[in-house]
Amino acid sequence: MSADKEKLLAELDRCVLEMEDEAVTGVAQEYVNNGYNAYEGIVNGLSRGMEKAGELYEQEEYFVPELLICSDAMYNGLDVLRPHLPKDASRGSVAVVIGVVQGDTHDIGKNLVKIMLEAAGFQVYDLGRDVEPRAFVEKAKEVGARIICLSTLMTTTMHNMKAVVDLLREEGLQDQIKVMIGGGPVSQAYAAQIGADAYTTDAAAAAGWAKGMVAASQKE
Amino acid sequence: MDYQTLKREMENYPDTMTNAERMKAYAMGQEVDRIPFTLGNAYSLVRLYGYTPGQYRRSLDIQFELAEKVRAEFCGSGMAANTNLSLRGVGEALGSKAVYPENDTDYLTDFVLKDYSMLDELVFDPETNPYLQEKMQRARDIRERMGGKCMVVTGGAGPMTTAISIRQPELFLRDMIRDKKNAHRLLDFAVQCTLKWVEYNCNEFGTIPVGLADPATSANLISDRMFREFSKPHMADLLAGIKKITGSVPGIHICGRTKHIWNDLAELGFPSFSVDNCEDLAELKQTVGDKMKISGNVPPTTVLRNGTIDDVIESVKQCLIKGSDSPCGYSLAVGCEVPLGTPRENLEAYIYAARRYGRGAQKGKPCRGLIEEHLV
Repeated sequence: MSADKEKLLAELDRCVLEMEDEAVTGVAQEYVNNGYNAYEGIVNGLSRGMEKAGELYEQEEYFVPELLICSDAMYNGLDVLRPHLPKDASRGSVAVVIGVVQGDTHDIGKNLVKIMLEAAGFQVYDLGRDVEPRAFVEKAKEVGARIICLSTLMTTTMHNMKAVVDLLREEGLQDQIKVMIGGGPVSQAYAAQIGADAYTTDAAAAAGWAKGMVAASQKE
Repeated sequence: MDYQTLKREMENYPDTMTNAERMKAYAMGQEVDRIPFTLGNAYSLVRLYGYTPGQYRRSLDIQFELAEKVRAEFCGSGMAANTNLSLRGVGEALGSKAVYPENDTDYLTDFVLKDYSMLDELVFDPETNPYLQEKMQRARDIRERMGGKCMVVTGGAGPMTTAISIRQPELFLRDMIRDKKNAHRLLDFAVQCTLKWVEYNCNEFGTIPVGLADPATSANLISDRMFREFSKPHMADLLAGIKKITGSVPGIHICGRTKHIWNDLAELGFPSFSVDNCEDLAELKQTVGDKMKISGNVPPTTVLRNGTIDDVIESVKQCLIKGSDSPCGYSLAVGCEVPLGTPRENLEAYIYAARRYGRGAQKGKPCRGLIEEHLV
């Protein structure tokens, strides 16, 4: 790898990690102007910075405001790099469906998980907030998703997580499509109780579990 | 323990003081019949009586009926008029859009402050605002129905929580890094709105108790550094303002992680702090128990709503062991609101455990119940 390319990748990484949401655009532009591979720019530059930001978030060095601005930088960089990806670049990436369950509109946590999943290379289909159980299953079937991520901050809407798990069972899809849950009132015990495949405590951990799950299933 | 046994056992531990007598005596350092506790308001318990949250919100008759039932069955303090703006009221009064689902808690869907150039045009006037006037009218109706002999309480949210009822949370959180000046302007405006409301209420109803909560200021969203830079100075203004109006400083509840700001809360002069169940009550006591009264922190969802009778009893016992000897006093509470749909037997188990293990409570000392049962 040329020294210039390496330097620009490191700079993309740094711009995301250090919340340089404006400077990142110029760096990404310079990177594509030099004819370097856009996919590598995302994976070895922007995503790497976002993953490091996620680690700082787990270590309580960064909090939600910092993580949001890092993600602004990542998406600004992506806006420049994406048009230079080959047309079939998203082929092969694993699809995930995500949303806040019906009855709840608190979506900061869900958005953070989406950011970290995208940084980890997943193709994320975001259904937004207040999403009815069937919509998760229908979307997952439509896009061939391997994972459904469900979020809620409210006790009154937790049962809608179970509704999604039950629907997958009814359709015999529980082995193909895994369910990960998260949010304030939810716990590992609750995940076990409703038959969800995973409970994770924060956005970085959620992306970590998703990556681990895919890696494990590829070994099988 | 099954429900029948619980009912039988409960008869062994009756209350011998009224809520008011207990609170007063406990505050004065005297031994009281049992640890003071709170168990949420009638709204949280609507489903036990076959009503929806929507029916409760709309009907004064239902509110009166439930206040009485909760007083009789769950040690409630009876009907009061409450004009607390809660977490979203300032935003809604200013034009943020709220949704009130029939079967659920209300929430905001659209936030009024899209751009800071609009901030100077936002007007919070309790006298002319229809949303605020409706709240006042309801309080007047309740008071009238009770022949003028009715407790009125008010309050609102802390600066951060009020700010994110006016401006979309994710935008405001970014402003705290990218547009600090305007973030401070909005926090200051949030404080001025809340103070106007408290003052307006006190002008009409006399000096009344004020309640505060500030979930948005927890470490689940912002760092302790940001708390000190943004939340703390405006919180100080809010407290100074409330003290000027009412003569006293209210306590506060903050949901989520707060350990890093406990000393700040004590420094701000909060007389009491209600802690979330994600934090350790013993640690809270050791850190600030000599400066503030503390309360907490039975897990609302995993234990109170979804646990067994035994889970609830064990959790209450642990809270009492950890918290009841806190130097400035302790009251048993749930780590956050009592969830809608909490079963009756778990609420009764909570009361039972508070009466049994929390009997003979005195500020700064472990409850006599704990000592007599060799739990401390």
